[in-house]
Amino acid sequence: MKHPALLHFLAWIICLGGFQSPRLLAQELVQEPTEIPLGALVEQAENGNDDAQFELGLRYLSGTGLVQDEFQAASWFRKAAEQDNMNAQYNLGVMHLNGVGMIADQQEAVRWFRQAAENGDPPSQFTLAVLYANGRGINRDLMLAHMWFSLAAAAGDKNAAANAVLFEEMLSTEQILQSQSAAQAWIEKFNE
Amino acid sequence: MTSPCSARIAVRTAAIVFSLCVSLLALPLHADFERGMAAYEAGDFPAALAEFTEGAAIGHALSQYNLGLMYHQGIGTAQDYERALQLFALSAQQGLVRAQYYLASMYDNGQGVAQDYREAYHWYQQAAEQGDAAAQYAVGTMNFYGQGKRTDYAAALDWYTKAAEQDHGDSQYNLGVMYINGFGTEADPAQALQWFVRAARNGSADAQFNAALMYNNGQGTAQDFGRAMRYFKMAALQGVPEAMARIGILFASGQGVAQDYVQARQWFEAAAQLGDVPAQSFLGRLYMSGMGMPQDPVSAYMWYKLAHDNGDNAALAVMSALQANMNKEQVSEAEQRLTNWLQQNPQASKP
Repeated sequence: MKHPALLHFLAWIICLGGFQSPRLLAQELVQEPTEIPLGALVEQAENGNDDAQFELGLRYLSGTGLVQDEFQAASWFRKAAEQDNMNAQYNLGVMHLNGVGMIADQQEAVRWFRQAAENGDPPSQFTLAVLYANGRGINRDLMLAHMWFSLAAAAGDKNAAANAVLFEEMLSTEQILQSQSAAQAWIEKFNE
Repeated sequence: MTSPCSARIAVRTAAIVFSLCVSLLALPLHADFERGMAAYEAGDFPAALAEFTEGAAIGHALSQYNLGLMYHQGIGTAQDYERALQLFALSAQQGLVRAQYYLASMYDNGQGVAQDYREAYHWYQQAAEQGDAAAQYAVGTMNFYGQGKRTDYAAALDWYTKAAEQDHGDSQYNLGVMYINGFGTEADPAQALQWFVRAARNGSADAQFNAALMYNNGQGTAQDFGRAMRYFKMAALQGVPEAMARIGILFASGQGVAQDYVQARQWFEAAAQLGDVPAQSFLGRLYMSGMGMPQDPVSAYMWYKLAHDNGDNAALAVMSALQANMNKEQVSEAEQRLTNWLQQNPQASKP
């Protein structure tokens, strides 16, 4: 089972007539890490278990049971993310966006958010939409922003739903239909 | 030079370097020319000028070219761009590649004549078609920027490829940029990396950095921190601060190397001295927790303040957190230390 703990990421974009850049507020954990002893966790992580790698990354990030160290956190998230762990991909996205434990790099942030978004992670879909809307790390594309907001909205994200509606103001009917059918195709492919 | 391939294509104006042609074999030598060369090599420039003038007068292309260079550089005579241009033109019309190239670059730079990209393009193209790599690069660049003709990325790509295959470093770098961004072709990171690697071997620091970044991120290649480290080090040796900061990160996180805070700090310091802001704040981070050294809030505050002064807004929150556990003397000591350090390292501060 995937560990749901994620970094909180709040993006401010919604204002009619203007965009603001995404902003990271707290790096606070949604859920406490499990209680596996550190030694066992390290062993599992070193043996390549991506959930263990993600959790070890979290412990480094929060300084739980060891000295806080974002550099090591980044390294463990990276290992887990390479194995397609979407929580780790999301966190790598946030850390790249803010230069935490690594050099800030918006294009790399987009790459990791995209992988997590394709893996069906709603916060990543939301963030990817914000990045598309603001043209951060990627060419601005309001249609794709709309599509990713719609997908996050379909997964129950209310802010994303509000954003999707707002973006419809800025798109032609044809563009909206195109975005909706792209979203539909994405969902069908994802559910296969 | 930050984001993956903060790739950039620089217009490089053709640098005119004085070099006499001694061994252009395709053209017949001539007695005046040989005497001119002998005089030139003996350092008797007025005599060389006289001999080349005679050779030029009877239409000897190499003499015209060499005489043109002497006027262009003002050797043995006053500098005279207009004469140089005329002589290069005479020689270029006879098909001498170098003369065509220099004639083109004079039109390109507006030397001895009003700047004229069309003429420049024409003569670069003549030399390029004869296989001159520098001219092929120039034709590629003019196609890229739309100078002397309309922008044509596909043509730019072709000419850069011709020059790059002759190991022309700037063309290899620009090809990398075009392949990564998909100019004149489908974006192709693997091809881009291949050209960055070749340009890197030819000494381009930008190419070294870009290749390193692509290995670091696994772009166009399997992810490979070892190779990333190697190319970052090549760029760092050429003084690229972003490369130094990246090496610091690899050491701090133990990616591609054994984890080592001390090395991380040394690389961050080197980058920080050259004004790299992330490195300045990462140094603060190391001192704050005592990573690889005793904990030192005064130094931590100093580095975060420097980063903040250089525009890192996120540093402010850390500074106030640090300040909460410092007394007034410590804060002013940190500020004093920063002032002193900046006097030693003026490059560390953003203008």
